[in-house]
Amino acid sequence: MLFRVITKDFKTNVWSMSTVALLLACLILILFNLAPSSLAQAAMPGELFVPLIAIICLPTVFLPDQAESIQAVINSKHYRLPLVRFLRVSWFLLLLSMLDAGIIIVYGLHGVAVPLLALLVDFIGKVLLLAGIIVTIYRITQNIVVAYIVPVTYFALCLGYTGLGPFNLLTAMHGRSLLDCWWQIFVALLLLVTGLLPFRQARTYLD
Amino acid sequence: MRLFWLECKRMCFSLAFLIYSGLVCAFIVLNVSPMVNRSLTEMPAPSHYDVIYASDFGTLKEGVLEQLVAEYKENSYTTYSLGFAKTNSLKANKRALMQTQISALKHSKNRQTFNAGLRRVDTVLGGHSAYTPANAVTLAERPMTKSEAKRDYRLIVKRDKISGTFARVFADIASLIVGILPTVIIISFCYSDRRSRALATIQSKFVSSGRRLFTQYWVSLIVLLLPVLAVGMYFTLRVISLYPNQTIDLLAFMKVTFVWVLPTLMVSSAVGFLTYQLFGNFMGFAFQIAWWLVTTLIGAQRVDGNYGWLFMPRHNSLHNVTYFYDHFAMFIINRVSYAILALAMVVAAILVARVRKGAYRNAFSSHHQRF
Repeated sequence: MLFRVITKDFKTNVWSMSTVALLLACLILILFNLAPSSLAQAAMPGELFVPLIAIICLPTVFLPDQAESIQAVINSKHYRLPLVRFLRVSWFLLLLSMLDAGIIIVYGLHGVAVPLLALLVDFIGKVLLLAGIIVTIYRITQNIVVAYIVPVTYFALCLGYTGLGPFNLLTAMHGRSLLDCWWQIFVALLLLVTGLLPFRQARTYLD
Repeated sequence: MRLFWLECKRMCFSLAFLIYSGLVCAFIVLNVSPMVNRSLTEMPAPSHYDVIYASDFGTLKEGVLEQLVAEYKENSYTTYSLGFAKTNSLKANKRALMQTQISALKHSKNRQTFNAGLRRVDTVLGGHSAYTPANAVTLAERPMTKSEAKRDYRLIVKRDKISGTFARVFADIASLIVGILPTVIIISFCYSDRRSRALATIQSKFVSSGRRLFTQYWVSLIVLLLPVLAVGMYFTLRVISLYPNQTIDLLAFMKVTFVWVLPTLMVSSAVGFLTYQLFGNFMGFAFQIAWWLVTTLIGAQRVDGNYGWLFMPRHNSLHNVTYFYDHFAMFIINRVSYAILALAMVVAAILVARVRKGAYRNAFSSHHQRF
């Protein structure tokens, strides 16, 4: 039964944005050097581009059931809204992590001299952190726009502001230690738990 | 006018606008404050003269050749396809060709032959390299001379009246954030009509689609510019308090808000209206985020004065003032062009909305004829 829920929801709500994510991912092949000569360059696709795909895709998991009437219908079923949303978020996390892994595999095939495993953890850490921010912000505000504008502002801050310390998404690009990503993963997991666990029934405030 | 006030009220009292205001203010204050804290009361010491891009042929040739020869030796050339830095290596036959081009550049006697040589180097690298006549200027950095530093400081005090210098940095940062956030606010603003099933009611009213959309666009510009204006006022007061004995241009922050930031806001807002009319979902945000990122990365190659056709012109420096005033006409053409582009996008959005409304009307009339 759970499998049926996943496939139906995937076809209806997740498929189109997953296609957009994959199409955007194709740009990585054109825009970036997949045989980079430095760690900063190797980090560009995973620290700069994949997080943007995450910002575009992840808030859409809340889009299909914005109206309270739709939420009520879903909650009347055996599998409730928090589970449906958890599955959608998990799907996108899997998709984006596979994208990151794909980049690392290509680096490995080209024999790029960078710490591949550490870079993969770093890449996945960014996706997790953004997912954590998005789900927590949506949980607090129940507003899809806020779930878009907060991560975008955070991303814009990471590009030029130097005061974010270990929470700057562009860790290796800005020459910081890859160990920073563990802080990001720790906070990301906290935020994901806060944002996705069904502590109480969520309500929607339109606008 | 009633529609205008209703839309204003609706946007101003939304949670999205409140959070947008908070984010815009925080983003600008965090990035601009360190610059405002730097003192402009005295001319900098010779060791602190700002670095500028040289325009004289000798320095330019020297800087370009130094970089090109270093890249040739390592066989690793950086190109910037859509602003994304990418390193390329050349195969043996192209390397030989590059060697020929380097010696041709070394023997070039004037700017014309040098520029022609640069174009050939760029072609060998497949385009988007630093070796185009326009990009090559960034390869010839040097500190200002004493006379240049004096002129720069004189412009800061006399023409910018200090606040104008800070206002340029303020506008540079404010443009970065209003270049992206308004798109998603507008898309959601339009989406909420559909979500609350109000669209059919709205379209049955006497107000035309054109008037309704234009009023909404006008409202969005006023409301979404408010946080930028508020931060501008805050920085005006801060500059007044930091330089009590100097002549300050009290309107400097307001001027850059309307001349520099507003055209960027007009475009990002218009993209929201147009893409929502076209797709009816948040897909336009993906387009805007791509445009924003490419512009940010292209602009980042030269942040202390980069106007050209950039959607968000860059000037993240308290100096390089001569460069700004020398290229002021280009900057104004840039801003006017983007304002016209934004209005064209709104007209396109109105046309799409009319076509849609017509389609609904036809659907209703054929439905009534049938039953």
